[in-house]
Amino acid sequence: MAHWILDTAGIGGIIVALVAIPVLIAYIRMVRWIAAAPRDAAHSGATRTDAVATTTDAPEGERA
Amino acid sequence: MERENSSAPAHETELERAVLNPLRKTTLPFWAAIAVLGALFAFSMGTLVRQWVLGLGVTGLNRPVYWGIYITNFVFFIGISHAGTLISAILRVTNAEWRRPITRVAEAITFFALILGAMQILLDLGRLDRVLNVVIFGRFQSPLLWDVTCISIYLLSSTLYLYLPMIPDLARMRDRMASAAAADVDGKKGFWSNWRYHLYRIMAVGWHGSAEQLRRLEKAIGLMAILIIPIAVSVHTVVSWIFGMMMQPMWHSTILGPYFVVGAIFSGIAMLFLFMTLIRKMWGLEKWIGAKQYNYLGILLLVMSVFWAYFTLSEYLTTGYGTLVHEQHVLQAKLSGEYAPWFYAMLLLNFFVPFAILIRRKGRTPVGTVIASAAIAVGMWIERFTIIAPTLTRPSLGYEKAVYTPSFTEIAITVGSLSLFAMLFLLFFKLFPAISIWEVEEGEHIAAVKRKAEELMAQPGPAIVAASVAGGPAGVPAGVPAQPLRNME
Repeated sequence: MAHWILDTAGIGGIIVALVAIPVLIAYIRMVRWIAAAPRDAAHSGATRTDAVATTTDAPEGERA
Repeated sequence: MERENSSAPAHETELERAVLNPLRKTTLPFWAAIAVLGALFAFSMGTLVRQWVLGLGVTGLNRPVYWGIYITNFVFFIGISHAGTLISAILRVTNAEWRRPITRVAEAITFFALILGAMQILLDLGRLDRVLNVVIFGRFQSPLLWDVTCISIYLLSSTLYLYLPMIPDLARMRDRMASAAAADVDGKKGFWSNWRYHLYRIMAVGWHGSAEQLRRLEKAIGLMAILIIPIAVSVHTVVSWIFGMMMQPMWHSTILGPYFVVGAIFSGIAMLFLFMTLIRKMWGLEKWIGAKQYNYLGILLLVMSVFWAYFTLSEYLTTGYGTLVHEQHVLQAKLSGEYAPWFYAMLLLNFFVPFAILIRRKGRTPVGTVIASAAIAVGMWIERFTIIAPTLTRPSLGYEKAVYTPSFTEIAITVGSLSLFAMLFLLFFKLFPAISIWEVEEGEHIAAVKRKAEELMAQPGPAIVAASVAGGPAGVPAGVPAQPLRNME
């Protein structure tokens, strides 16, 4: 009945694209989501690249 | 004989100096290694051009032996790609603290091994202009198509999994080089005079290190660590199904999927040992990649060696007790025929040598683990070869028994592939930190908090109360460096 899915040349390529393209888009969005994070109010304008925020930096309800 | 690209800032920590100095200074051994690897790769390119001009016929690959050492290399490279992502992900998920200095090396191995693995398929196609036929004419029931899908997803995921933990370190590099870029205020020197600064700036995606940004980053890394485990398992299972779905002797077996996955993790850990020791030695990172990593990872390698031996025994014993004529021919070729030297070398290198070294604590040292890992790397390549060649030389269809001897072209391209793999790895760590600095700093902070908490617990009750009162708002005990936070500006 649905043998055309198995037998039609090219269906496989479409399936690869249907899987790979959404995954690629999701991963790009993930990076953009990280990049778009707001700065700390106390540190606005400053970069803290030498810093490792630890539990003391996390919001009150999320501390370990 | 060192050339400095820029000097180290005075306020750098010991960890930063150790990790970032190799990026600033280029040593003679580094260039010597690149020169040798580059020469081998260039030579192999000559044979590759010859193969493309004259066709795949120069390799001698033809029916019934249509897959030779290109496909052996493909399975081998895809196997070692499990070094990084899978091992790193498992260690992250289980929160193994000792993982922190080695995860980046592991993840980089995955990235380059996958690229080299995919290249082996292109080599085996013979004609690159036909590569898109796999997708254009791909049929859903073909394991080759499943393989293309899985490897594509794995490559995308591994790239992201390598990249995400690099972002804070890239921002650190960006800020270290900002002063050099700022000196070129009018931009007269152009983009390429400060290309490294611009590379780090673009790749750092505006990282500023706020608590929210760090929370998002850690959430994304945690999610990827969980996702990557089933993806990695699926990749090598599907690689095994390329063989397992064929009615060929000693391929058509249900055990092949897990057997390939175990072999992949096994060879991946061995390759991780080899490359992490190379970086440790060349970059001088002995203080951070030390006894703990060699001991724990050595135990893991020992366990995987035993698992591999168990799967091998299960596979060969079951085949031996069967009465399928075609399978007996292949089995005899391995046990007592022309492939016997390969088969016994495989057993020796994959089980007996590593087991003898790693079973003792004294063996799980840099020297011991490198010897065991080198044996396993060779042994696992032989294992892939003895899966492919003996079966194809004794096909179950009406072909005569064949003989397969790798041609000079195949051997040269194999050497070139291995050289390219090592060269890409070294060049990558000439541009990017080999150790995840922010994760190691975070680990040091956690260890300091734990130590202080243990000291406080050992004291009488009133002291704990007093210390808690004096401590920070998050309950970090007094006396602990609350956090390694130092603003750049």
